[in-house]
Amino acid sequence: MSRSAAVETARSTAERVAPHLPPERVVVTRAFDCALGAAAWFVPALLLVVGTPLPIVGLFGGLWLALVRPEHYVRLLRALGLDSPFARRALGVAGVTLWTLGPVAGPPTGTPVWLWFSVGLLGVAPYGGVGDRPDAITVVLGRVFGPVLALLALTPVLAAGGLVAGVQVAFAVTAALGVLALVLGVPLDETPTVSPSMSAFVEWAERLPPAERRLLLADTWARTGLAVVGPLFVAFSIQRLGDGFAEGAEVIALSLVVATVAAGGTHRVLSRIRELGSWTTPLLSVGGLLVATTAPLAVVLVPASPPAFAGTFAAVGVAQGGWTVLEDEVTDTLGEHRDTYRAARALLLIPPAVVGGLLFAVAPRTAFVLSSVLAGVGTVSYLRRVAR
Amino acid sequence: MSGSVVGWLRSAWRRLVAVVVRALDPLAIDHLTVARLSVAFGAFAGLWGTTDAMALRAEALTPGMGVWPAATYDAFFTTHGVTMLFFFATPVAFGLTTAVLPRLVGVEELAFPRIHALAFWLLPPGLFVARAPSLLDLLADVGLLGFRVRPPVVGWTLYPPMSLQPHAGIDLLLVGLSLGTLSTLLTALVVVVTVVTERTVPWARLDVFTWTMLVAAGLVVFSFPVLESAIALLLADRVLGTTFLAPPEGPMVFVNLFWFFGHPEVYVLVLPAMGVLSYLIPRFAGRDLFGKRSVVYSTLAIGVLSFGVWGHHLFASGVDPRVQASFMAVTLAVALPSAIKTFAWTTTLWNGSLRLEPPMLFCLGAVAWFVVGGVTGVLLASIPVDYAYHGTYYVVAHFHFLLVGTIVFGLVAGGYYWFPLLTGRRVDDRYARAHFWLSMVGVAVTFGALLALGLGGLPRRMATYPEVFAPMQTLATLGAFVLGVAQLLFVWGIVRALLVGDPAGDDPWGLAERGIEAREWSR
Ligand code: HEM
Repeated sequence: MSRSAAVETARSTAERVAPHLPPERVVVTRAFDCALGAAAWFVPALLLVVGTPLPIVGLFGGLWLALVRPEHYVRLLRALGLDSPFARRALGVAGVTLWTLGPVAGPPTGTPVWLWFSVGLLGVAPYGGVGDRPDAITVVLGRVFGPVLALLALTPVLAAGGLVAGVQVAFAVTAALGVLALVLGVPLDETPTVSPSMSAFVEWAERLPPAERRLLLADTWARTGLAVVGPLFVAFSIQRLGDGFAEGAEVIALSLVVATVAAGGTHRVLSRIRELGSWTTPLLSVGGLLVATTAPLAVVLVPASPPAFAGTFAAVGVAQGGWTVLEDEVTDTLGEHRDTYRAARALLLIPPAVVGGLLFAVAPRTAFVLSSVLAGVGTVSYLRRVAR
Repeated sequence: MSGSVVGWLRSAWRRLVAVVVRALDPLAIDHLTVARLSVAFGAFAGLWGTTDAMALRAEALTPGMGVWPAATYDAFFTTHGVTMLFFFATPVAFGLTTAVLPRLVGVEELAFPRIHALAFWLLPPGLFVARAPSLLDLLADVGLLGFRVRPPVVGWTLYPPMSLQPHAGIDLLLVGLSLGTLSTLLTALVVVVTVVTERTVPWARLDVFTWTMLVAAGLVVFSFPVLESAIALLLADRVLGTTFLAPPEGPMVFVNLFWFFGHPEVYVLVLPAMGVLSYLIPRFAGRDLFGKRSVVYSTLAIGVLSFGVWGHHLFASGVDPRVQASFMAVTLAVALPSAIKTFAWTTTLWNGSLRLEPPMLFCLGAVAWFVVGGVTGVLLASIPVDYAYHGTYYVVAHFHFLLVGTIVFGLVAGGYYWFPLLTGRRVDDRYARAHFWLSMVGVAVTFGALLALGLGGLPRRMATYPEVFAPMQTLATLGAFVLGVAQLLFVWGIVRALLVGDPAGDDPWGLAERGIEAREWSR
C-alpha cells in the first residue's frame, strides 16, 4: 500500500470512528457487553449444576426469551423514570452483580439460587443484550471480534475453575467492567417506544393471504421449537460432553467461538448472496429452517467428541444468516404491526420454554426431538408457502 | 474531525517515541531521569502486584478449590506481598522524592548521582529474579521449558524452617529480594546525604515533606541492613550448609531479625504518604499546615519509636509476658504521633478554602482510610485482641486499609501533583476523578468485607474456606475487581497525558496565583 493510500485509509477509518469516541468509553462498554454475552451463555448450565429443578430452569429460559428485547421494557422503565441509558446500564450492572452473588449467597441465606438469577435477569434484560449497537470497534474490527475475544478469554477460566467458579469469575469481572463503564459515561442511544395494539394486529392478520400467513406460521413454529431447548442447548451440550457437568464447558466455549465466527462470516457474504437473485431469499430461509430442525437432533445424536460439537455449533452459526433473512421477510410482511407481533411472539415463547424444561427433567432427549419436530413443522409451512 | 483524529494519532506516535527514547537512557544519571524511571518501574510493578491480587480474589470467589490449586494461591500471595512492598511502594515513594528533593532543598543535583542511578538499575533484575520462579513455572506449563522451578510459597515474611527447604525458587526469591533491598538502601543513603550535607535551605525552613522523607530514609539506613543480613543468613544456610537459622532456635532468631526490620519498614512505607499529605493538604486548603512543628517532631518520634515495637508481631509466639507488655506499651505509644498528624491534617482543613483537585481528593481519601486503618491497628496492639485476630483476615484488612487506602492513595496524590514536574503534562481531571471515586468504593467494599470476614474468624492465607463466608468473600472480590479496573483508568489517564496531554505550564496547580509558596514550581 502506498503511503498516500495508507493515509487515506487511516483518514476514512478515522472519519467513521470519530462519532463514537472517546476510545476508552468504547472499549470499556464493548468489553462489558462482550463479557456479559460470553458468560450469559452458561447461566442455565450453572443453574443446573447448583441443583435448580429443571422446570424452573425452563421457566427461567422462558422469562429470558420474553424479556431480552429492550423495547418490551421501555414503557415500563419510562413509567418508572428509569429509561435513561445510564439507568439502563446501571440496572444491567446490578443484575450481573446479583448473578455473581447468587450462587454463593443462595445456600447460606436459604434463598434459591435461581431466584437471585431471576431478579438479576430483570436488570440484565432491559440492558438490551449484546453488541447490537454499532460502535467504533464494530467499525474497525467488525462484530465478531469482541464476542470471540471474550469467549476465548473465558475458556481457560472455565478449564481451570470448572463451570461454577469459572462463570463466577467472569461475572465478577463483568460487573467491575460495568461499574467502570458507568463512570466513563454512557452514550445516548435512544430505543424507540412501541405501542403494540393486539386488536389491530388480529384484524390485520385475519385478512392476510395464505402465503403470508404461512410465513408467519413458519416463523412462529420454528421459534417455538428453538424455545423448547434454546435455554438448555449449551447446558445439554456440556452435559453430553463431560461426565455430568465436570468437564466440557471449555469445549462448548470454543464451539461458541466457532459458531460466532461462522455467523460473522455468513453475515458478511449475506448481502452479496442476496444480490444474486430473488431466489436466494427463500433458499437462505429454508437453509436456516433446516438447521433449526436438525441441530437439536444433532446435539442428541452426534458422538460426544469436541469436533462433532464444534461442527454442530458451526452449522448453527451459519444458520444465523438464514434466520436473519427469514426475520427480514417477516418484518417486510408485517409493516407497522411488527412490534405487536414481536411482543406477542415473545410471550408465546414462554410456555414452550417451560415445557422444554419440564420435559428435560424427565426425558432430555425427548425435549430435543420435540424441538426438532416443531421446527420441522415450521419448515414444512415455509416450503408450502414457496411451493404455492 | 477526521483530520484532527489523524493529527491526534500522529502526534501521539511522536510523543510515544520521544518518551521511550528519553526514558530508556541507561547512562543518564540526572535525578529527574532516574526518578522518572523509578516511578515508572514502581508503577509497572504495582500493576503486576495488582494482577496477583486479582488472581487471589478470583480464587477466593468460591469456597471450594476455584480457579487455582492451593499452591498457586500461596505462590500468588507471596509474589503479591514481595512485589508490592519492595518493588512498588518504595521505588515510587523514593522516585517521587528524588524528583523533587533537589528543588526543595535548593540544590542542582542529588549527592552521589551515580549511586542513585545504580540503585535504580538494581531494581529491574531484582523484580524479575524474585518473580522468575512463577514465570518459569508458567513457561513449563505451556510446554516451553523442559524443567520446573516451583514458585515459592513462603509469604513475604520468609519464615524458616519453611524458607530453608531445598527449593530453587526460594533461592531466586531471596536473591531478587536482596537486590531490591540493596537498591532501597542506596537510594536512602543518597537522600540522607543530600539533605544533611548539600542542603542550602536552613533546617528551620525545610518543608515538611523533606523532613518526613529524611526520617523515612533514616529508617531505611538503620533497618534494611538487618533485612539484608537476615537474607544473607538464609542464603548461607541454604547454599553453604550453615545452620544459623535452623531449628530449634534459628527460626526465632530470624523472626526477631525480620521484625526488627519489618516494623520500621511499615513506617518506611507509610511516612512518604504522610509526608505527601502534610505537604499537599495545606496547599489545597489555602492555609499553612496547622502545628507544623509538632508534625515534624511526631515524625522524628516515629523514627525512634518504630524500632521499639517489633515485638508486637511476636505476641502470639510465646514471648515472656513482661516483654510482651513493654512492646504493647510502645506500640500504643507509637500510635500517638500518628494521631498528632491526623489532628494536624483535619485542623488544617478546618475553615480552609478547599480546592478539590485530584491530588487533594486522594489526600482526603488517604486521611479517611488512615483513621480506619489506625483504629483497627490500635485494637490489635492490645494483646488479648491480637490473640483472637492474629492470623485472620482482620489483620489483612487492617494493613490493606493502610497499604492501599493510605499509602497508595498518598502516593497517587503525590503522583498526580508532581506529574507535571516529571513529564511537563497534566493528567486530565476527568480520569483522575473517576479513578478516585472508583478507588474509594473499591477500598471500602473490598477491605470492609475482609474486615467482616476477619471478625468472623476466617484465617488468612487459605485458598478454601467454609461456605458461610462465601457471600462476604464474593463481595470482597467484586470490590477488588472494581479497584483493579480503576487502576486501568489510572494508567490510561497517564498514557493519554503523555501522548496528547496539554503542557502543564509553570504553575500547574494555580498555587503562585494564590500566593502559596511552592519551591518545586519556581525555577
Ligand atoms: C489492589 C488492591 C489489593 C488487593 C485486592 C489486595 C488483596 C490481597 C489479598 C487477597 C491478600 C492475601 C490474603 C490472604 O489470603 O492472606 C493480600 C496479601 C498481602 N497484600 Fe495485598 N492487596 C492489594 C494491594 C496491596 C498493596 C498496594 C500492598 C502493599 C503496598 C499489599 C500488600 C500485601 C501484603 C504484604 C500481603 C501479605 C502477603 C503474605 O501473606 O505474605 N497489597 N492482598
